[in-house]
Amino acid sequence: MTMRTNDNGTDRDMTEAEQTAHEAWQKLAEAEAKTVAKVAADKAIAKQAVLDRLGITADEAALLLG
Amino acid sequence: MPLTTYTAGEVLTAASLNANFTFAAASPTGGLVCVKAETAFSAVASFTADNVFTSTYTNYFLSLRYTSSAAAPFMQFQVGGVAAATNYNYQLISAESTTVAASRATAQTSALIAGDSGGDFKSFAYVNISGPQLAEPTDYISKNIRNATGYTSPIILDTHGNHSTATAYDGIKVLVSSGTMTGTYAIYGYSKTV
Repeated sequence: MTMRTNDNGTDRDMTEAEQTAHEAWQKLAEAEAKTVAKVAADKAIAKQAVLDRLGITADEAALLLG
Repeated sequence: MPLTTYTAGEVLTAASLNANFTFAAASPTGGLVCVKAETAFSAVASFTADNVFTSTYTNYFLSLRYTSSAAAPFMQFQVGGVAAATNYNYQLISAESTTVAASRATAQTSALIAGDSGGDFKSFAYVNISGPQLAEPTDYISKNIRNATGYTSPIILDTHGNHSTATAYDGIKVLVSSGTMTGTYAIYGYSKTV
């Protein structure tokens, strides 16, 4: 399927080269997003592990740190 | 033609007055000066604005009213129509209901500027860009309100970052990693004179 772009105000079909470049970027962007999401998820898991060891909730931890 | 200043007793002609109006229109001072008129785009995967960054301004303001069908808008700087696809770094904070989250992304292929609207829910972002036309790293601050899949679920996304390549750029590309986006954008330069 041909992708569309707006070129300085004009909506048009992407050229073959433009679409190839865009699709390559999409794959990289998707991989980057997954990496960022994994870092956030790992951090959340590590945080919960600490809370579990302390036996307190996140709200209680926030009260302590506030 | 330079601005004409009149003295007492001089005859003011229509041609001279019109020339002054023309001069004033071409030489705005103060505030934001539009360098890219509001431009509509419809169901596209990207849009580009060339020749918008010049030595006339150091800082720029991009306003973006949009909807997106599947993914968030990112930006890349470009020169001569060729986009730079390395060295974007950003820190973001998002607030969704009572949940505030933060994350950082480095060495990216593009810079996140807004979130996905999840359909036809008008969302808005403005991006302040500092020094894109300088052969120095470029900084940006993006503020975004997205109405994700509905107007009763507004989400804040603040993204601050940089493009660390020391290259002078003349244009910008905004693109989504899947699906399409529809909306309008405009670009302004911050005047350097009073």
